[in-house]
Parts: sequence; structure tokens; C-alpha cells
Amino acid sequence: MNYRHALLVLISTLLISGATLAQDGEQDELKLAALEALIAAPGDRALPIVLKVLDSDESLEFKERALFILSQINHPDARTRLLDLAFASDGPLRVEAIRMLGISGDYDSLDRLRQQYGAADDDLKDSIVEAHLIAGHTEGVLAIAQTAQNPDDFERAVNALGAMGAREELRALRERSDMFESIINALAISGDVDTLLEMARDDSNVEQQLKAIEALGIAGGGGEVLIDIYKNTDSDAVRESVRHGLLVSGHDNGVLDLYRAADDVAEKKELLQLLVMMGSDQAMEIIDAALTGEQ
Amino acid sequence: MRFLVSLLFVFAMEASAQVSTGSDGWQSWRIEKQPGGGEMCCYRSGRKAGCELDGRPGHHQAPMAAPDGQRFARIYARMQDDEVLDLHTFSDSCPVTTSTPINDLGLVDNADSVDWLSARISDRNLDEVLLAISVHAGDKALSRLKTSAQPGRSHREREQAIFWMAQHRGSETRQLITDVARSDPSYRLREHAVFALSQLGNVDGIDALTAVLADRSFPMNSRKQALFWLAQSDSDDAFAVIDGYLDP
Repeated sequence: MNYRHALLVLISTLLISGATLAQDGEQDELKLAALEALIAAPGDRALPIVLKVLDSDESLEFKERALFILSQINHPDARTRLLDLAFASDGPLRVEAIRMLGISGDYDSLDRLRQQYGAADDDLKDSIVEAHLIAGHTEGVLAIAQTAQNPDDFERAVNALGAMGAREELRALRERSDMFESIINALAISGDVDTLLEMARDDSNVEQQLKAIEALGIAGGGGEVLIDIYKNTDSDAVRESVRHGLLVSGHDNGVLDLYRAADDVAEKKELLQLLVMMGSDQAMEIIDAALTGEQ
Repeated sequence: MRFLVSLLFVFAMEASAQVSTGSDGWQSWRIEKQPGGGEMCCYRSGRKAGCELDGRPGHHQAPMAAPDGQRFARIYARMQDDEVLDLHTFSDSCPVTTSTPINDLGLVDNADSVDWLSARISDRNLDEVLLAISVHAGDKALSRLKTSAQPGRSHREREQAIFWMAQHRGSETRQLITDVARSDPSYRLREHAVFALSQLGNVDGIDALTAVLADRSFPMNSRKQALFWLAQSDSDDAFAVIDGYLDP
């Protein structure tokens, strides 16, 4: 009897604690839903509640969600609070607050945030540039590049401009000839074939020219341009860069045309190797035909 | 005395009219309106502008609710070969224009009007017919809306019926809508029912949503939906509830 009673007590305890756990989970779920519901609420209603959450003892994860809601509230106090958190030198929400300033798309806040860039560490600089990227603030990123104190800062900004497709801003940076590699890479990512072609035809700086030729392979639509450059040059270095570009572009039909037009055995061999590296079906047919001819 | 008899005769004639839309073109009749709704008309820049019934598609502006207090509404049906081509419902005071004359059938018994409309429900005019029915005062209209909200009807018909019940017959259908939000097998319809509860009117709506939120017999998603719609309101009570979940 005592044993049965003890068992019942144990079972009921387990059931109650299970129900409590379920209830806790349920409350957490509703709490999160309550926070997320504020995203569509009138700003002056949502703001005091969100600010209260940010000042509370809630988990960092929950507060990060609150930051997102804050970034979506169109109210000057919401921006001020985000900026305060973004400027807080050792605040746990700093990086997330910077990202949220980007999501909010508020260029004025980002311009103020940029004042911190010079004194920031690398992680913070990444966050600031990322916020500009999210907001699409190309002018701000250009300003970072133009005032960069070292190659890393410059490259970070230029890479972001490439990802943003900010061709005009990248062209404005071309005068930084010492950083041509970063600029060419970003131009390629932005798909600016015209500027790359212009650089590819300019032989005043051979190193830059060769890099631009290779980058044409990265920029979509550069395949035909590369074939054209190949046909109209006598430079082995230029041809080698074109081959690198063609390999990246995957324009195997163009390489096949070059192969068929080539008279020089060494050149044919280079182009055939390129076709093989590109995984071209035509390369296998050429090899088969060559083997059959030998037999 | 003779004047009084004549007057009574005119009223009796008007009240006994039925929907008789034998001819093609625009037909219109008055019905007794469910009390409480706003003025149904067309508005431009927030001002009543009247409605052009023959306008190009998209030209009509949506009827807006504004303080009303009128007893009658008016149904406009454009008929061809006994088919309803267009159907509109406006407050009796709302001016309309049409390119062809309107045949005015006068005041029609609400039950007859509901029967006429019910017989002409199709997928094409579902929204307009259920809106029209919901504006009718009386048990027949309510009964018809409840029928349309029952399981077995198409999802869209149920959705529309629930919406219009909440708009015009909220106090009488709150329980039905709440039951749908609690236990209808359709996830989408449960969500829609919670939305409909938010349309009951400020105090009733907040009260109904708060009840859903607090009741663990509702699916979690319905309760979350209730929170979402509470946050859409501009009510101190609603935000006190939300605040309570974030700062228990």
C-alpha cells in the first residue's frame, strides 16, 4: 500500500512538473509572439514596451529580437536608442545594434556611426561596413574607402562596393593604382565588363592589365570579349591571362574556336589542356579523333 | 381620413414588394439594414463622392464605414437573362450613377431579398452576395450567414461568411467565430476566425482576442494570432495585455 501510494505521488509529481515545464515553454512562446507582434503595432505604442525589454534581465537572444523590432519602429527615440547601443563601447548588443541600423536603412544614423570607424577594431569595422551594405548606402562605403588609413580598410570597403554592384563608386576609386587588385576584383563582382575591358586594353600598367583580363572571366558576359583580346594580341602574357579568364568564365565554345584556328602546336596543346580542365565534351572528341588518327 | 388611408396603402404596397428582376439591366431595391453599421458609399480623399456602378474595373472605390444611423440600405443588381452580372450594396443615402436607367423595385421584404440573393450565390459573386446578405436585418440573413460558415461549404464561402458576420452581426456570432478559431480543422480558417474576432469592434474585439489568448484550449497558433491582432489595435487594454506577457 505504501509502495503504491509512493508510486502515485511520484507519478503525480512528474505529471505536475511536466505540465509546469510545458506551461513554461508555452509562456516563452507567447512572450516571443508578443514581442514579434509589436512589429506591426503603432510606433508610439510599441516603443515603450520594446525599450522596457531592452532594459530588462531578458536573455541576450531575446533582446536581439527586441532590437530588430526597435529598428522597424519609425520614431526618433527608436533611432536614438539604437545609436546609443551602437556607440556603447563594450555593450553586448553593440554589433547587433549596428546591424539593425543597417536594416533600418537610416543613412543619417549610419553617417554618425561612421565617425567611429577609424578607432574601431576589425570586427567592429566589419559590422559597420556590413550595416552600410545592408542599407545599400554606397556613398557611405565610398567615404570609408576614400578615407581608409590602411590597405585592409580600403579592401574591406571596396569588397562591399563590389557586392553592392556600386560600379560608379568603384570607378571613382580607380586612381588608387596601388590598390588595383582589390578594385579589379570588386569591379568583376559588380559585373562591370566595360570598365574591366577598358583596363584590359590599357597596357600602360601590364600587371593591372593582366589582372583586368583575368577578371573579365569573373564578370558575367566577358567570354566573347576575352576571345577577342586573345585573337588580337601577340603577347604570351596576355594570352595566358585570357586563358585564365576563359577557364573561370566557362566559355568552352570560344576556346574550341581558338583551338581550331591555332596553327602552333604548343598553343594548340595549351588550349586543349584548357578544354580538358573546363570539362568540355568537345575536348574528349578532339582527343579521340587524335588517337584514332594515330592508329 | 382619406389621406391617411392612402398613406397606409402606400406603405403597405411598399412593404409587400418582392424582388422581381425579370428585365435586364440595373435593378435596385431597398432593404431594412442591420442596425449599427457605418454608411456604405464610395469616397475620394475621405469624402463621400457617390459611386459609379458602370465604372471600369478597379474604378469603384471601396465602401467605407462612416457614422451612419440609417434604417435602409440599397441593393443594386445588374441582370442579364436572370443572371447577376454585378452586385453592389450601399447605404440608401449613397448617390450612384449608371449609364443605363435603374429599375427601382422599392422596399423589399428582407426575407425575400435574402432568398433571392441566396439563390444566386456563385463562386463569381460570393463576396458581393455575402456582403449584401450581411447588411440585411433579421433572422433569415443571420441564419444564411451561419449556413455559409458551416463545415462542408467551400473555404472561401466560410471565410467570407465569418468575416461579414463579424462586421455586421458580431454580438450574435462571436461564439460561433470563437469556436471556429478554437477547433476548426483548417489552420487557415482558424487564423481567419481570429482575425474576424479582431473586427468585432474595439471593446468586443479586444475582449474576444484576450479571451482566446488566455485560453489554453485554443491552438497555440490561434493564440499567437490573437497577440498579433491585439498589437494592431490602438487600445490601452490591448497593449496592457501584451505588456503583461513581456513583463509578467
